[in-house]
Amino acid sequence: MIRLQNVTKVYPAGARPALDDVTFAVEKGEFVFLIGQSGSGKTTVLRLLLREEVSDVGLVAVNGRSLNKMPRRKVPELRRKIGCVFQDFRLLPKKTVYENVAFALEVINKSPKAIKRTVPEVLDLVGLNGKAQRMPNELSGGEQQRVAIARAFVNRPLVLLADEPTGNLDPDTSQGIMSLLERINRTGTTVVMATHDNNIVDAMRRRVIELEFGKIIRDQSRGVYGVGR
Amino acid sequence: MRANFVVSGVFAGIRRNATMTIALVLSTAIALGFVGAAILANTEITKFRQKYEDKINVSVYLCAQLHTADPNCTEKTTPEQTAAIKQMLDSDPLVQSERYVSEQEAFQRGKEQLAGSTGNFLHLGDLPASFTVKLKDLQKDYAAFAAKYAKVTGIGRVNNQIDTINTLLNIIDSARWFSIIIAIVVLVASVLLIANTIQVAASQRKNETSIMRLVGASRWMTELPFMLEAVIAAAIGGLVAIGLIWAGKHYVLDNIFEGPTRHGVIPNLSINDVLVAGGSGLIVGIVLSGITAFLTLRFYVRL
Ligand SMILES: Nc1ncnc2c1ncn2[C@@H]1O[C@H](COP(=O)(O)OP(=O)(O)O)[C@@H](O)[C@H]1O
Ligand SMILES: [Mg+2]
Repeated sequence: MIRLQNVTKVYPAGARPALDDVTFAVEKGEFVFLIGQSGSGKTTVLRLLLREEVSDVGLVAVNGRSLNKMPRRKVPELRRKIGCVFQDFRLLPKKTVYENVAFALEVINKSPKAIKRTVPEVLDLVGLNGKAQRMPNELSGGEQQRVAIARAFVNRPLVLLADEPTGNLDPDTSQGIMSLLERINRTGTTVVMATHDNNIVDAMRRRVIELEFGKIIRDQSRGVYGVGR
Repeated sequence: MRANFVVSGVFAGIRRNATMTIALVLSTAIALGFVGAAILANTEITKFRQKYEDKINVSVYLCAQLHTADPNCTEKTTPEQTAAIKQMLDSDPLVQSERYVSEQEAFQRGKEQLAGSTGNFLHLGDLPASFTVKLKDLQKDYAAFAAKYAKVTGIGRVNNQIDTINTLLNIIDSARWFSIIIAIVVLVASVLLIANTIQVAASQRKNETSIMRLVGASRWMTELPFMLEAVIAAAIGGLVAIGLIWAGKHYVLDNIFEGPTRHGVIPNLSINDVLVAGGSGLIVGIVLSGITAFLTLRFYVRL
C-alpha cells in the first residue's frame, strides 16, 4: 500500500536531510506507528505520502503508484484515497460538525444525495451523532478530533495518516481516539500514525518504525516505545 | 460541478469582502464606462463619415436673379455660361463627377430646410442654381479648384463643407482618445484591484482552501469561487457602466448637441448604439477580470 525506497529529503533551508535513506513498506490493512523525537522526520514522511513534498532521492509509492513523477493534476485523485488528521484538528470554525464533514465531500463533487447518506453514517461511527449541529468551539478537544477523523474517513480512504492526533489531548481522551482509529483500521483501512506518546504505543502493541535524525533506527512488529534505549 | 455549493461559496465570499467588492464594482464601472464611451465615439465617427461621405463635396454656385453683394454676380448666369462651365468641369482632371442642381431644385431644398412659415418668403429664383462637384481628392485639390473657378464668369462662389465637418470630427476624435486613455488608466487600476482583492480573499480563506486541497479537491474547484467573485463583480460593474453610458448620452450629449442632432447635422446615437458599446464594455470586463483572476491564482496565490 505504501512504499518508501531509499528516500532522502532535504528542505531548501535545512542543513541536514529531514529524511536520510529511508526504506520501509506498509501492507494494506496494517497499523503502523511512526515514532521519534521532535524533528526526527515523522511529519516529513506523511507529507511525502500526501505529495505535499517530493523526495530528492529514492522512490515513494502509494497504492502502487509512484508519487515522484506524478503530475500536479493527478494529485487530487491521490489525496481522495488518503485521509488525514492532525494535532490541531483543522476544522472550519464557522461550519457545524455536519458541515465540516460534508465539506470534504462537496469539494470533490459528491452528489447531495450521497452526502446526506454518508455524513450521518460516519458521525455515527465516530460517536458524534447527537452533536451534528454543534459548532467546533462548542466541542471538547477529543470531540473535535473525532470530527476531524470523520472528515478524513467519510470518503472511505485506503490510507489514514494521523500526525500526532493525540498531541493536544489528555490520556483518557487519547484512549478514545485510539480505539476509534483501531476501529477504522479494522474496516481494512491502512493507518499510519506519527506520535511520541509512549503510553499509547506501548498499549497498542502494533508495528513501530522509529526515526532518529531522519534515519530509521528500528522497524519492529508488535513494538513498544522504549525498546533499545 | 455542484453549482449551488460553488455559488453559495461565492456569495459568502462577496459578503465577507463587501467593501473591497464595492470598490471593485465601482472602479470597473468607471473603467468600462470609458471603454463604452470610446466605442460610442467610434460609432459616432463612423456614422458621421458615412453620413457626410457623399456630402463632402464642393458646391459651385452660379448667379441668381436676386442681386447679391457678390461682386462676381452682376447679372444672372446665362444658359450658355452654364453649358461652358459644365464643359469645363467635365474636362477638369481634378473632378471626379458633377451634377447640376437647378434653381427649381435649390428652391425645393431651401423650402424643406426652412420648414414652417419662413419657407413662404422664399421664391423660385432666390437661390442660385449650382453644380455639386465631387473632387478626386478634396483635401488636396480644393484650394486650387476654388481659386480656378471663382474667377470664371457666371460663377458666384465656390463653397465646401469640409471645414465644419472636420472641426466636428476632431472634437469627437479627441473625445474618443480622451475616453481611451482614461479607460486604459482605470482598467489598469481595476486589474490591480482585482489581483489584490483575490490575494486578500485567498489569505482570508487559507483554512478552507488548504482543507480542500487536502481532501483532494481539484484545482478548478479551489480556484473557481475566487474567479467567479472577480467576474461577478466586474459584470455588475459592466451593468452599472451601461447605465452610466446611457445617462451620459441622455443628459450630457443629447443636451449639448440637441440642436445639431435634431437638424440632422450630427447623426443621432440610438439606444442600440449605447447597448452595443456598453455590452462590449461588459464583455471586456468579464474577460479581463477572468484572465486577471486566473493569472493571479496561478502565479501569485498558489492555493
Ligand atoms: N518546511 C521546512 N523547511 C525546512 N526545514 C524543515 C521544514 N519542515 C521540517 N523541517 C526540518 O526537517 C526535520 C524533520 O522535521 P519533521 O518531519 O517535521 O519532524 P517531526 O515531525 O518528527 O517533528 C527537522 O529538522 C525540521 O526542522
Ligand atoms: Mg511533526
